[in-house]
Amino acid sequence: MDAKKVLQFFRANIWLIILVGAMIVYPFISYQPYWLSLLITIFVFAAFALSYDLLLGFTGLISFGHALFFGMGAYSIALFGRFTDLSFGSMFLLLAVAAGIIALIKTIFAMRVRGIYFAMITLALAQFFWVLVMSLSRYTGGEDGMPRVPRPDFLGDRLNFYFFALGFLVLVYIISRRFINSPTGRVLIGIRENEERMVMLGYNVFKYKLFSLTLAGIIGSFSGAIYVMFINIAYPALLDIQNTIDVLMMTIVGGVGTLHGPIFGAALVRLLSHFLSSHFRQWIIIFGIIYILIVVFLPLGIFGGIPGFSRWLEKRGGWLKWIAQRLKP
Amino acid sequence: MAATEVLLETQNLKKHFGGLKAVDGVDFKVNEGGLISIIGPNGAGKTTFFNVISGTLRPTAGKVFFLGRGVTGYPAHRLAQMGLGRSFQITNIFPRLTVLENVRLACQSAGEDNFRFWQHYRKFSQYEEKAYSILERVRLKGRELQPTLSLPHGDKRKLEVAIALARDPRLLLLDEPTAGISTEELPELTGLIEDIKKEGSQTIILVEHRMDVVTAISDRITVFNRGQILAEGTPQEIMDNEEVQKAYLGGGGSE
Repeated sequence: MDAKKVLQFFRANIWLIILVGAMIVYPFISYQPYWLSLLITIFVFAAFALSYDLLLGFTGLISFGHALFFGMGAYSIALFGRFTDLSFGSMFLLLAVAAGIIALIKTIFAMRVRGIYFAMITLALAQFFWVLVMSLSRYTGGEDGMPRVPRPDFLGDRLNFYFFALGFLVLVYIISRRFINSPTGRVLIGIRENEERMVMLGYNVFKYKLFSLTLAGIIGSFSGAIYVMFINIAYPALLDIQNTIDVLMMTIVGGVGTLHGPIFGAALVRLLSHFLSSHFRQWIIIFGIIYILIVVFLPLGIFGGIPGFSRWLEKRGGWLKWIAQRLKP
Repeated sequence: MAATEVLLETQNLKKHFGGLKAVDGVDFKVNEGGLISIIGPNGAGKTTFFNVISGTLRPTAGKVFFLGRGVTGYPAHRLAQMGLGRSFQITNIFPRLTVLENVRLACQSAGEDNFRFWQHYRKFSQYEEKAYSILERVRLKGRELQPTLSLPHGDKRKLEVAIALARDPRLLLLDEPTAGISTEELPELTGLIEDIKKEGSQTIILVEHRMDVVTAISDRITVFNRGQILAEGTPQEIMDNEEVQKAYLGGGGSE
């Protein structure tokens, strides 16, 4: 690594470095448990939203069941903790394998049905697991959820957890960025743009969709696992459609098809709902209005401005319309 | 004996959509080398025939052989990997990527690096270099970094051919490359097809409506009508064939 390259790296990633630096320094300047907790959930949901964008924005797969991965991660850790003596390493390893299996099932469907049909099947799959969790209440606690989720000792300290979650997000960001700029990532973008042509070029679309879904599934389920380790309880709502809608909203508000978009989208949605819910009783209405305003006036999301590309998208009414078009049978 | 090797063969190939017999019992054979045109009135089954032999559609009955192997029902991506390239009648490109990236992705598909998911794609410069050379070959030099969406129609048609060429296919199926091209732009595109033919590394099957183009550049012509082969021969033989004239004049008009 010569000096020129280092300088170049710093220049290209200046905002990333400033932001991560600020996040590292922040708890030493002002240590407020409340804000720390909020930031931890933002980090975790940002990673979750990023994994959703790998599907939506970079592969062109619209899933209405991404919460399945998140909830699966959450319940896996809770169940492993209660019924096994597994180490955390093997828990996460098993979780990754399970995410891969779910990804495989979804890929098989993705090859047969498209658009709204695929979205509905992913929704059904997530709801199936939701029902499963509700009906196996002897093991899962049903509606009451599963409290006392295990976590490694060093994560008992909130500051440590803060850095752990931040580290997780940075890692997910780096992996995603390298991934979408790799030859494989370029193929996924090609599939998003024109799947039929990719097939005629000899690409076995199945393998690439499986790759993308597996990666998104692993990141999504790890996010869920880390989240329950933090809040210390796994509950059915982590699996349900509302959680998927939240992550979809974070991605759209931030900017679909970008890497920073979902991160800022997660921060915005979380902060807004936090602020609004503590000041207004009917905050969800206000939230809805803000969401509509963003979609109408910033159709690319707040951070979705890629030059040239954004102009093209604007002409077509933004991402929401693009998604609507894709959903057409 | 490479010159006389049978590249593609169909036996009694059928594709029916319900009661519609789009392709109905076609025996077709292509030897390596040269350019064969498929002509026929609208609805004669030319594009369906392309879709079946390129693996996009499964045949209702019959067999397809490519490079001496039975490939009936093979998925399209496997046929592409075996060396079958195809362009589309309706421009089928990657609209939001640059011209270069359109072709680079096509070049990458032939390589071994598709599952490299960590290094930056530009480190695999061989695909980019290849893409540049193909763009030069189809006369799109200088347009590399333009977004595809903003290309004029003629250039989109060239890009369509460029993508099909990128894998160096043994057999190149060109589905109406001149569709929607103005008379002024036509010589450029036909010149391009002739160049590919002259270079000789591809065998070309061309579906084309413009008779002047077809007769000028084809080695042989196959005439489709109502899903069947009506006639087959050199351009001169086809021009003189009475049945062909009847089909064209009586069967829904030419174009």
